[in-house]
Amino acid sequence: MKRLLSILLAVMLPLALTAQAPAATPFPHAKHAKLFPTCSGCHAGVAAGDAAHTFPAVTQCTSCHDGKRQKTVVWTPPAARGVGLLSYSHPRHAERAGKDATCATCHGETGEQSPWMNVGRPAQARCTACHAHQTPEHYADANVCATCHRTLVQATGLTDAKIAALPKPASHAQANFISTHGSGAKVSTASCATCHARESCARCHVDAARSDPIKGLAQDARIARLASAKAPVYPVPQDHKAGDFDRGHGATARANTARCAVCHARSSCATCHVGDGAAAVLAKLPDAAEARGRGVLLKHVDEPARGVVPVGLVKNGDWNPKPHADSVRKVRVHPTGFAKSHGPSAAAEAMSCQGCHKQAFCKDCHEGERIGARRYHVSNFVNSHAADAYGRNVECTSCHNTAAFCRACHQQSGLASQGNGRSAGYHNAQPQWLLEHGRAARQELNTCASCHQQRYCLQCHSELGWRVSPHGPNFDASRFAKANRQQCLRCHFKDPLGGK
Amino acid sequence: MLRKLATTAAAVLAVAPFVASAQGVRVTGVTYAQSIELRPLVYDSVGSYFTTGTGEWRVLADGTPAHCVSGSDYCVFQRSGDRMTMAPLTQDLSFVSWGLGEGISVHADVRARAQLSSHDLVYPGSDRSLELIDAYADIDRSWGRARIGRQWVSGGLGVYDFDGLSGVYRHDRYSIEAWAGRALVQGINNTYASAQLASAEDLPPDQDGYIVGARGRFRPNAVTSVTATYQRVLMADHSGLYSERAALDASTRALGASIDLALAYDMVTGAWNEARLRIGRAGFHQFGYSIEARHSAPFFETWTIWGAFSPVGFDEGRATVDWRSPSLPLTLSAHGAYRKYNDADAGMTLRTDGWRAGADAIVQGPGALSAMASYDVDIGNGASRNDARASVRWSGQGERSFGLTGSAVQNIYEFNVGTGRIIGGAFDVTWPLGPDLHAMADIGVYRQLFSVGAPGPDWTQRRASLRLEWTLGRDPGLAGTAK
Repeated sequence: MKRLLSILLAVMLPLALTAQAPAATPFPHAKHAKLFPTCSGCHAGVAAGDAAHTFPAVTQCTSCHDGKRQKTVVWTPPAARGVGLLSYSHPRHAERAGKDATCATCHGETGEQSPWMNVGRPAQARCTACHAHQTPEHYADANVCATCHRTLVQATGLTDAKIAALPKPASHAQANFISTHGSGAKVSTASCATCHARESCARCHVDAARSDPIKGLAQDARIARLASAKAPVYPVPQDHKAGDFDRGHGATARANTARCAVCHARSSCATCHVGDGAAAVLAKLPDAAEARGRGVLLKHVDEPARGVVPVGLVKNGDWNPKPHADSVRKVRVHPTGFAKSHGPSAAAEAMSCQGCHKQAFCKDCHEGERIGARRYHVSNFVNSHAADAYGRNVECTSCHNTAAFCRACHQQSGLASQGNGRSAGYHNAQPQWLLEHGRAARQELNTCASCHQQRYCLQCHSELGWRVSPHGPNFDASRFAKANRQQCLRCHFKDPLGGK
Repeated sequence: MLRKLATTAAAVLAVAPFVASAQGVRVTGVTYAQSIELRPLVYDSVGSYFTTGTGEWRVLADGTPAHCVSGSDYCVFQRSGDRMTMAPLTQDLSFVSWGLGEGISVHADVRARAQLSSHDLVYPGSDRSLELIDAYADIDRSWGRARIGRQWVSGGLGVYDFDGLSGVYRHDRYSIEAWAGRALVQGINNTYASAQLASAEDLPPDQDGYIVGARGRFRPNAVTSVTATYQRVLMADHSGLYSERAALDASTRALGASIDLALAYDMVTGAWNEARLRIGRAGFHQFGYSIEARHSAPFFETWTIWGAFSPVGFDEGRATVDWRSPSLPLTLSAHGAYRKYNDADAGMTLRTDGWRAGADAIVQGPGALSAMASYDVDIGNGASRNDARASVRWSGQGERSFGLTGSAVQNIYEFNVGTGRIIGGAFDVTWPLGPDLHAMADIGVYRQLFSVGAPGPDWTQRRASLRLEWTLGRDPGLAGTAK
């Protein structure tokens, strides 16, 4: 008898555990208590693990419920509803349960003391009594799901709605879960597979095709459908918020490119890194063909949004991607006014300019006349540029040749000297200009040269002219002569230093 | 012209075999046409009885200065002449080919210019009808780079062009770079003894120069970099130097702030051309700021006489602050600077300081529209102005954008222009005509409303430009990248 009961226990327990949520009223065992003397009468296949005979045929119901003797009923065996999440072997459990176990041991509402056929799903505690969890909470990360559960992909009986309604472990609701779940997933991929398929991860991970933990999950069309309706989630990592992230992220990216590839496809980094410097890192990132989505796509902010959003300071609130839409974040690496102040930083190569700029990028401006492409100067700069030139807000000569560009234009527009020293033009508003001009010349000699040729000044400042010395009190003649003694003879009849 | 054409053709032919066997070739073209109206100043005469004042220097009724030679019944003054139009056309072509071997690539940039209008006005540089900007072969490995051909070096001393060799050796935190070759004049892309420079200077150098330079860079950590540069340009006969300079540039970050230091020293005159210390920080509780101390003095090569005229520099303090609204897509910024010139030991009564200040407001939301308004004042020696501008821009998908800008500028105190006000507006559009073809155009209308005190040019003008950018070939190293 005990043997029979143990067999029945092995039969009934999995029946209850593998039962799907009923589409209709579950079989009312208690009402049929007087009809069935044994469990195996209906559940003959349980003991042998024979799935085809785990549940009775529907014809067994209609032998009574024929509409005459008893009203007709609709009942579908659970097995016909497909494979669920639980993985269970009745024969193996029957063998281990021992001779004293019966079906009621697990399925009886009060255990073996339950009235006959007063059975139902066994409580979860029945399982965990033997398969002890690491922590009491059933969905805790430390527990091993695969002990009792199939993978989601194997659970073909679950509908999209049921998958969507699967309970979420408490850990998944923690604020930093998205940032930290990777390490756990690497060591317990099997547990993840209980509720997830590859598409679950590929919703956000642009490197899904090359990530071992993700590749460890099978693909599933139901998850693909569910994922397609949900937007990816990309929290800003803590190190991205650091003020020097724009400078320091290159070393981080080189050291751990795989980390970048979680969120960033090649197109994301190529927003800024159009130069050669980061090509090696970019090559390691997923390209458009490989990445399921484009991940975090960065968009470079152009003028007039000057210096608004360094990479690390983008707020989550700025960005609400829609499913399958480009996940765009606007970034601007360089600070306000960098176009005018970049000299020292670029010269020191604080950041590797070549990381983001093609080598010819500098020449686009510093070559002088390639104007218009980057709108460096404001529109119609020509009618307001004088103050900038005098004050050297930026050095005009770093892009323009004074003689070939500035003077050529000033001469044609009638602003430059005609060489006679008595024109009615430029400095005539100051009648004593000849006496005054020395200070102006020494303060802004470049602007003088933007109109005057050298010979114009030599009319007075040479031994050929009025012999007015242009040298200031701190002029080191020997030092100048040491570099270019021939130049002294532009003004002097003979070497003023006597060859010393 | 023939020589230039031959040089360019030779350079193209020299790289042609490499290009033909390359794994990839990319050709970029930029066509840029402008139309600019100007009214150049011309001389006119007036009866002396129409002038006020006495002596040689008098003024007309509207304040225009006139020069009256004693004993003559007429005085000479300047006024804006007939309206003329400059229409320069520039065609740039850039070639890049790669895949000739690990890290080997060939580059060339050629520029052609033409003048579309028949007026005498010529846009600066239009006489240089064909220009080889650069043409070099490059081999780049993780440990270093070598380059041969027409190229340039940029750094703390500016941008220098030359025909020659350069190389970089990289090791861990260090890199060493050296370059040498025939020096070219910046902005002209030709040699010191070339006809190009001779046409622009009345005392041009009579021999070419050779450039030699070296640079060492040290990166003690990811956010710090120090670069020291030395460079000299020697005269071809080794009898002297056109320049000898050194620079030190450093940059780091500490406590969330970026710190930049730049020093440039002219070893010929013993002058510091640039000494700059800048501290800046972005995103500090919605605020960003920068403060800067700067000394600036002009630099001249020794083939000009200007260095012997003892130019003096100025010391300047600068500051900027910007604030980003936490709830609105709004950024406000303000900047100011004050400069004081060093003692010039010459002349009289000119101002020896200057200042500038300004403010900007920028609205840049997540949508396609952005707007900006700015106001700037710049008061200083020689020229001053105040300047108000406002613009609205729509930026759509695929780099499409429209912009509308209005401006009002007042030039004040300027030596020749006197006081004048110009208002105007400009409209610009950027539109992709295909995946590799972009068009940009702008048109502007400006009107001078008021002028007094000097015979400045009438800045009433119409301007327009059209720019076409096209590309053939793919981008090296980014195959498969979604755009």
